[in-house]
Amino acid sequence: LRCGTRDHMDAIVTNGCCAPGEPCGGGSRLSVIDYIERGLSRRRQPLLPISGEVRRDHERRIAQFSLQLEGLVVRSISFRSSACSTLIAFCEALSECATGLTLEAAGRVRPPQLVAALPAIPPYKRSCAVLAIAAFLSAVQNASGDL
Amino acid sequence: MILPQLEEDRHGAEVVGMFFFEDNTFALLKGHPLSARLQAVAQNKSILLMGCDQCCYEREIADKLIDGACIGCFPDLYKALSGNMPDQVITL
Repeated sequence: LRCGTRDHMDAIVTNGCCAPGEPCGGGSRLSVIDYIERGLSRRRQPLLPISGEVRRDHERRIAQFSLQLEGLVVRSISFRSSACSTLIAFCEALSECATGLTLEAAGRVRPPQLVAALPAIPPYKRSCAVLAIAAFLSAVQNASGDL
Repeated sequence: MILPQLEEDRHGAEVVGMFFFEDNTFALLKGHPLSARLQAVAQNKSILLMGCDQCCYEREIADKLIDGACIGCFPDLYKALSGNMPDQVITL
């Protein structure tokens, strides 16, 4: 179970945490605030070479992802988003989980997986996951088109 | 004194919403001494109870609030109150 692989993401989705001893610091439950804090840092980083479209939701929140590839593998992810804690948490969780995935695997990520990774987020705030996924898939689509 | 006044129906102003920050969000937590009283007052008087989302995430209580309370940020608060906007805002 290597950090950033599909299995790794599945483990997070299933268990809410990584396996003990994993390079991502597994063994401790990943809390929403952890993702928010790391997400606040990541969203200050510059955009990477391949950007997706800016996506908006009905609440006028925005999200945009950018990727750096190594062959067919997503090596780095950055994002921009509105100042919404829940959206930032989802974007960061997605960034961490999808890093290391192939483009094909990254293109299969869907909102229920992301929602399952952060079960402490109340149901009425989970629409942010839809926005995060839409923005991410736009970047994946652009990356696939650039190949 | 706001909560006892609301309970006694003599606060003197119609309260449409209460927004909680930082450790005050614990007052919305199930099992907290104040939360049941807040819940009862909110239900009786149709008062919005909202906790700052980031404050609740930080304390890992976002999914442990009393029924009727929610989390959100300012856009959520304004939207929730848009049908009955307050005339005055009191900050404590």
